[in-house]
Amino acid sequence: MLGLGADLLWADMNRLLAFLFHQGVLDEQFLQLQQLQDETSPNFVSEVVNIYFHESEKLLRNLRALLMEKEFSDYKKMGIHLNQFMGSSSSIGAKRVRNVCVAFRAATEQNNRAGCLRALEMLEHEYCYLKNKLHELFQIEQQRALAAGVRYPVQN
Amino acid sequence: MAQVSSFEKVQYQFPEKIRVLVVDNNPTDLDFIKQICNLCNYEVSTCTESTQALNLVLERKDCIDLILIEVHMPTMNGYEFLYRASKEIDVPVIVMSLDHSNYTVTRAVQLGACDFWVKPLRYYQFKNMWTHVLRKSLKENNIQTKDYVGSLEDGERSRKRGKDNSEFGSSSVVRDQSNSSSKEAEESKHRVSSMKKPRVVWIAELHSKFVNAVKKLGLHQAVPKRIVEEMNVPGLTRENVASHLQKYRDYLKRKSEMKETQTQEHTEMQLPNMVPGTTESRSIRTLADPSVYGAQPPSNANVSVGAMQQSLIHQQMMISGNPASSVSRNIDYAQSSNPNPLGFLQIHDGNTLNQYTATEASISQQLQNSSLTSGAASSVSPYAYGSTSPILSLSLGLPNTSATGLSNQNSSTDVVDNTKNEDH
Repeated sequence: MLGLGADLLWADMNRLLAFLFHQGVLDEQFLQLQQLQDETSPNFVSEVVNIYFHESEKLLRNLRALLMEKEFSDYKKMGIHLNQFMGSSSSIGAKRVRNVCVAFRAATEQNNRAGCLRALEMLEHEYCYLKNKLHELFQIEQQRALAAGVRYPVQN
Repeated sequence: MAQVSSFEKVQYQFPEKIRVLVVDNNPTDLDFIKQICNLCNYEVSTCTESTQALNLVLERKDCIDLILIEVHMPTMNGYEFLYRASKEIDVPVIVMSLDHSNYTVTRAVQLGACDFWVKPLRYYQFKNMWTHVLRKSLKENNIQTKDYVGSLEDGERSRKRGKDNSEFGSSSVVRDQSNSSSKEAEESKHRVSSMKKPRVVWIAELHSKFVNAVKKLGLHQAVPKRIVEEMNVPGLTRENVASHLQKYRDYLKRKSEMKETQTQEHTEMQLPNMVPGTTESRSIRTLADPSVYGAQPPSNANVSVGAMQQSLIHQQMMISGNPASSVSRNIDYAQSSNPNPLGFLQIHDGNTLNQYTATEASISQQLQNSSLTSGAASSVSPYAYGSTSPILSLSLGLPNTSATGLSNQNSSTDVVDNTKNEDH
């Protein structure tokens, strides 16, 4: 019985990960992240991902603010934000988010405002989905860590 | 061994504790890089701005061994930093970016970058990063690279070898005789000139070349000069061959004498790997055992015995993990280490995930619908979350973009499909 809960949760976690890979939400760079986590830095993945979330939300807000301007014309600035978003997404392994950024960037290069708007919506959507799924993943991970540490009392 | 210890010092000092400065305005990347550097035991300092980094570099010129910098940054980009930093200090700079277009990379190299890394970054890149620092310090100190097959006196040949070996791809050939600080470089140069002439080590491969050359020429016609030509080993001198030939002749003579007297006791020319054609020796020879080369009558110059012992010691050291061989081991490992630690996803490497191209539009309907019902995009979910063939694509009403992304994504999901089945 010892740790059975942990095993089940581990299976859950793997299933979710497999699903996310299958969907193309994450790619193998995320696995690279997991490999960098060890006893000396046991929360590395969640730390980096939280930095990513924090930064991404800032970038999304900036992008939306730029596009909502009446006299919007600063495509170049949007491109800069997007580059950063693209860079961090690829470092995390957020494949789908990154791909949306790529298309978004193409729209900015053509000064296509409508296209940018559509892309932004898609980006926000994609990002939310990723965030939810990763939160779910971390939750399972946390529960698993707890369960693995539980010692069942000896039955007399 | 003065040579060995200074090389040891260099080799063991290097992967550890090199001081890296990382400059990137992207906090996620910075954290990621910092973690990898910590795992590799580098001392890492970070900056989010080039100006900040420049100041740091100017202040502490001798405290940075290597700089890693992102190209595209808002206030001052990587190019400008490169340009300015290269004027002030001489430190290897590695440029990185998601953007790996030819123009970007070329410009970085033109401005003096010693390497260009494409994001997303991988652990193995960092593992090898210190080679840039090593290469620079070797060049700086004008190290005479010395094979164990060469000798110091042959200055011209070893200088030539030095040029060949400056590319730090070849493994066991670089032998460092001084270390990174210039003060000690002078000292060691001093030591070098007053040292005894280093011995040539006749490893099995070399010896077999020698034997083949002798056989080809015929034992009685085999003169050292012709043997050297025949062997065609860089750095091998006529003198080296001459002394080895003398020993070889002695050994052959003894062998034939043994055969004549029909004793079972074989004393053989001991080499770590068996000389081809000889029978296995019964006993294990110790290092200091002079009888390894056959019983030496006292009249035989003690010098030659000493020489053999010394070369045997060299051999033993080479085999049993002196810095030279461990360097080659390290580098081999590095070269063969799997860049993608996960075999089953290896196919992903090299597909267009990491390229700077747009994906092709294909879910046109849904997105066009969403554009008609302005703002209702959120209600239309372009992705069926439970779908089994997720192809990410966008239609933003863009003209033809590259189609590569699509097909590769197809194949990549297939791969994931196959391998992930095991998990269910």
